Amino acid sequence: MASPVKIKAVVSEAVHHTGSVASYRFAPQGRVPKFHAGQFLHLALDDYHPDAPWPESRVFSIASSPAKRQEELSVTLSVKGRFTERIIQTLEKGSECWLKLPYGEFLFPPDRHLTLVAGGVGITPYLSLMQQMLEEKSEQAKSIP
Amino acid sequence: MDEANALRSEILQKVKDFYRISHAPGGESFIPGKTRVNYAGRVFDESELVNLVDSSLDFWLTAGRYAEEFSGKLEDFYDVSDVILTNSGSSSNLLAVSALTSEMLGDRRLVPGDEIITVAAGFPATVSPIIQNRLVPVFLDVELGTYNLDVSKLNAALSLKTKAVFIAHTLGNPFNLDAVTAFCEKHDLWLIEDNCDALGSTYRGKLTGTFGHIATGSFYPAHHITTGEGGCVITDDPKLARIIKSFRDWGRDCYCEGGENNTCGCRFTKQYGTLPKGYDHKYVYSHIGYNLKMTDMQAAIGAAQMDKLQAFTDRRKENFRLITEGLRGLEDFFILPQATVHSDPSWFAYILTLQKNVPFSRVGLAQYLDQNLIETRGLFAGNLLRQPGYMNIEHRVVGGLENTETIMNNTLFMGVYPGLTATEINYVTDKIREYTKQF
Repeated sequence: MASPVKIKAVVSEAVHHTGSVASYRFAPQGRVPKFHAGQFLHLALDDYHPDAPWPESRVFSIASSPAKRQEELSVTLSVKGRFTERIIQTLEKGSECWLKLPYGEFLFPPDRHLTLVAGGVGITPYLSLMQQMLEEKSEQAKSIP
Repeated sequence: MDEANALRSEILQKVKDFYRISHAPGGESFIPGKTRVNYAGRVFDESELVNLVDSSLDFWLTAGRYAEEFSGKLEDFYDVSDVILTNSGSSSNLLAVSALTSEMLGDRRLVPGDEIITVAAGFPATVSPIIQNRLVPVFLDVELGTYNLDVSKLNAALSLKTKAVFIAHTLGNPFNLDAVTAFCEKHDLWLIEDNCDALGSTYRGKLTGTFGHIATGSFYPAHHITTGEGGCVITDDPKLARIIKSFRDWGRDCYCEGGENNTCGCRFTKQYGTLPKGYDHKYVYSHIGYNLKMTDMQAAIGAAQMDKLQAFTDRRKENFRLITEGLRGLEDFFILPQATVHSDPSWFAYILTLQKNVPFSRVGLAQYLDQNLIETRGLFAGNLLRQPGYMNIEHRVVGGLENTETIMNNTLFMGVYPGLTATEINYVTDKIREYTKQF
């Protein structure tokens, strides 16, 4: 995986699906490294400074297209504990936060049919993949039970 | 802090002044027969010095903000997810081959005795990692003119033990990527591109270094950009990248960056090997690795050099064109270099091979040029199998190495690096013409 890059981001859209599930779209304020569908990012709420350790963060699959990474990054999350509760309560359109990416090896082979199985917010890595396939007009067969 | 920032600004301004007085070109002009024409050299301006001193003032020392900037620029340039900085191109080659021995690759991993197809006419660092990993190099001949693998021999080289192809884009000239990638895909082989001499070269409009599973780069001063010592490994496969980083960083399993802890959130919860459950993940080693990292001060130079890459590439191509023009009509004496079909090389050097039966030797020409302060080199190791350290290695040769032998005896190259001017290039070609007129 790439040397993860730390980027300040501004929330460009916040959608609360329920009281405990929300989607966020971020406008990155710095260079976003190339990532692959299926990879994840760290989301931190507190300010980060290069001279200080990375603040507390949690990891979320990237739900947006790798090709549009410089314009937007998005995640969908559900409340699992204290920190995710804080995210839901804190982040709104215009909020600033810090992202660190990319991480992970949950990758999709390009040369075979795929069956994608997910529950709840587990669908997010597939959203990234499907957007990529649409953009590339991929003819790779896929099904989503 | 304000005082520190002010002092830093003052120091960096002084660095610019120092560059202007000590290093800036101008004043000393080329004097034929008095000024040496090197085959390579570092080309830089105040930006490299400023970055270097700026980094030293940080005193971060290990990979830091400049490493992030430099690797980011390389990742964007190659449009890949991962460029892993190392302390040399040779280290990068070692990492590329070692990574393919990882158990994380399952059935596709290389094991001792597996074969890797390569060439003997090149630099030893392409071959030595094969031997160091107890793998067997299978040598094929190269073509004169392109100095790249003769792809017509590939099928004959294939055996049940063949697992990879590892070759360089010789002196910046891309090898036949249509044929080699098709061969690797057909037989499910790994492809490693040694791109150390070819930063900026393209094949069918795509950068070399982006065709194989892994590619390597070098930033030694003779190369297209420099960090002094330094190199990189290039891949668009995050799994391979993680393995490569592990081998680079002592073999560790943890992927936290320097100064970070518990990035995975599982630092004290998992079980590895036969270690007790919860053993600190920071000290779990999944490979027998090395420490081959780049420092931030090297990366600081590289970050500035990247901003000059396009200009360097243009200059290399122009200098190559000028030499070709200057040697026109000497084809009876020399085999002139040929760009591989479909390629646009960012040449590392200008290579010549003496035609058969010319009335002079390579050594004679090299000595004449040396007397006239023109630096030349042979094509690195010549025939690697004749080198003392390689004479007894386990290997196979398929189809003979006739052209490799010719290269060892009759080939030399000279510089096209961006520090050379048209005046110097003309001096070089004039001296070569002058030498041939003696016969």
